[in-house]
Amino acid sequence: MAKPTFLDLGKRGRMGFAAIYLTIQASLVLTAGLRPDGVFSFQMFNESSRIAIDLGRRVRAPDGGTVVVVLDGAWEARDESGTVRHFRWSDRVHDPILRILGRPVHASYGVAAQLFRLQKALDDVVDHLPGDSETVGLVADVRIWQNGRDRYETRLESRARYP
Amino acid sequence: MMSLLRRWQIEEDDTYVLSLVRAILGVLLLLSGLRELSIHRGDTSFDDVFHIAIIPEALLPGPAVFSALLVAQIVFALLVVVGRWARPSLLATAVVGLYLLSCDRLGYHNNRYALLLFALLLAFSPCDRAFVWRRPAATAAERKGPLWAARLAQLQMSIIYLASGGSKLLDPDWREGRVIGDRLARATSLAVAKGVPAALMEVLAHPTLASALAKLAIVTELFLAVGLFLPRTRTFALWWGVMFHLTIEVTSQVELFTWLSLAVYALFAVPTLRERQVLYDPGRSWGGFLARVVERLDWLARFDIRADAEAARGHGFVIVERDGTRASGLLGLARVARATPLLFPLFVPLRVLARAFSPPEGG
Repeated sequence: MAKPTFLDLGKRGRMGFAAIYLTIQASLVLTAGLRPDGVFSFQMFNESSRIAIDLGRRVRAPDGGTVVVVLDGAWEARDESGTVRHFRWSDRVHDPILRILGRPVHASYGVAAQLFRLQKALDDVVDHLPGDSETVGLVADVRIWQNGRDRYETRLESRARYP
Repeated sequence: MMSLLRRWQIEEDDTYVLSLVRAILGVLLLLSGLRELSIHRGDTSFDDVFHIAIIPEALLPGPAVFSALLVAQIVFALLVVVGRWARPSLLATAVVGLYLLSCDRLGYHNNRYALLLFALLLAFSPCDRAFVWRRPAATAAERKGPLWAARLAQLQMSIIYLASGGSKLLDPDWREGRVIGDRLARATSLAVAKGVPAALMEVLAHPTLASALAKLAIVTELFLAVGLFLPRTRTFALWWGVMFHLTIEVTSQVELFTWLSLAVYALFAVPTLRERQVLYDPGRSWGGFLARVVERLDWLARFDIRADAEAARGHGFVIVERDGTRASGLLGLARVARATPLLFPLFVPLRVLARAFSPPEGG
């Protein structure tokens, strides 16, 4: 007979463990709607949607406003000393869905999940542009095909940046 | 309800099948760990890449610790496979895995999360009493142990079906067949590559059929959540579930989820071993052949196989069920299929054929 270990719970321990475990699982499943990507809630194959991301960068215009310049994922910008530096979206964004620009990809875990992640990615990238003294924000125009319906579009903007 | 809870708390039985599930889970954990390691860039820190941490950023590991944890996952998985330090390793791999999953929700996948949950639950079960490398086979008495955590793992499977089926039921796009229709239309090339006829995929993606399939998928998941627990429906639920998961496997990319689900299905088998008999006539080649096949494929140790021409009563082989019912011919084959994992998909077709062509032999 094997020696009991800390993993061999007594009767009360079994009841306590099961109660805590099932409460956590039930809570995570029932609160799935509170999380855009539904993590920890087993919403399998929740959508069959695609998205195509077109990236742009917002820069200052001569009239004092801003203008969006379309990007293919890479851009050049001057730093404070005037030296030209190179930047790429995929330098920071390695995610197999979000790093793909310009063509439709499967929106794993649904459109809401991917838009949530894309917004975070835009904010993250503008927070990590050392040496770019021109870009004041990033813009993503997203074409969406949700569950086989006709395409619609939405625009996400990163938080403003003041280089 | 109280007696059910009391029984769940104290139930003990053979842990042979439980130990087999542990070994399979170890292999799945190993494959999962190797995949993670293969895509990991050793010198990249979370600071260098876009990520969405669930836990506070301060708790994220540096590159060296992250790499060490991935390697540790593989070592734990190997220990789980061989059965040495299997239970602490299961717990460790679950804790480390859930931690790593919480470091970046971009890397979250339901199947990986499910694998870790089953590892966690099996850690609390005596799943190390059989299938242990270089340890002599344990006796039935030594293998006997509490099954409460294994029952909890069964319940976890049910939670997955309930959550998945319930969310689809509440989604109009799912109920109407939009999701499954579009998915099937787009999965055609993948399915064809796996051997599914293209014409079949086109028919399945038709809106009318897609709507029917969507409802069938929802009903299937909700049925499995309950049907696996009811003695009257369990065998059919297991068969239907196997078909369901194999269909998903050939039409979608679900990493290890199919094999994880099928492994967990083994926990629904009655724990006691060799309650059925295969009695065969060694003088008949067909009986001897079937006995050898069953011996090789009886991974759940369901059968006591004996050469006994007299008991075979003129048949090549006879299957004796738990309740003493005897069956030979097609029905006997159906009963062999019912209890052997590899032949299990044939159980219902054989049973239907047996009903059509040969009445059961009483006994």
